[in-house]
Amino acid sequence: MTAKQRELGWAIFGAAILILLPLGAIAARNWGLVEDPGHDLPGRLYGIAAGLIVAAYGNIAPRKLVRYDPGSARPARRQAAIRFSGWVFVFAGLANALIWATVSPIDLAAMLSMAPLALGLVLVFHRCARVKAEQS
Amino acid sequence: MSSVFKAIADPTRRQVLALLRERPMSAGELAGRFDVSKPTMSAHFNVLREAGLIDASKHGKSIVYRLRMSVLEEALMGLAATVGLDLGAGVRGKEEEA
Repeated sequence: MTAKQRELGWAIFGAAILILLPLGAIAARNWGLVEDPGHDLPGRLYGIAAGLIVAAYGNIAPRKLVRYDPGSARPARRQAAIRFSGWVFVFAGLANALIWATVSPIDLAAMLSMAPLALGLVLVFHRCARVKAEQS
Repeated sequence: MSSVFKAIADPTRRQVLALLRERPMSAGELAGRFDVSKPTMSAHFNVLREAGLIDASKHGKSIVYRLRMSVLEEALMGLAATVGLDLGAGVRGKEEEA
């Protein structure tokens, strides 16, 4: 199995988790296996899984994205920006999952969970824009 | 994962990783920073490469190494360096038993 095929396999696995986890929760609730008085368990599980997937991709981003470019004016700054992005997405994803798991009601969790992701995106764009500006 | 623990258990290899965190470097540049023989340095590079923590590419006559650590691996390395944990002890123990 090639590296690309393994990556594709993991991506399909992640997508399957996102689909099957809420469906499983609905089925478990309908069969009386779990109590879900607020009827929010499927939504919460989906949010938690999505947050953890963001964190997992953030974790491997520095491994996948850093390429040595001898033509690059500042390889150190470029590498640091990519590593920074990985850390930011790991923390943003974990914070997102934690909010989905703990904040009640679910509407508030849905709104608040966007904050760490939005903040993470702003930080990463800002850092990358600075590196690009320095290189040009 | 045991190959990662083994790789980051050695202080010289941790120093190599710390240097590569700053920027990609050539083999000669890295070797010049340590007071060890070239074959020893080469062995350290091989351990790090086998653990998937660094990547080597040939540019002209020199081999350039770059960091290839995930966030989790970097956090583990930071923890090992800060607390002074001997993460490779278990791995070495198994190797000695075998």
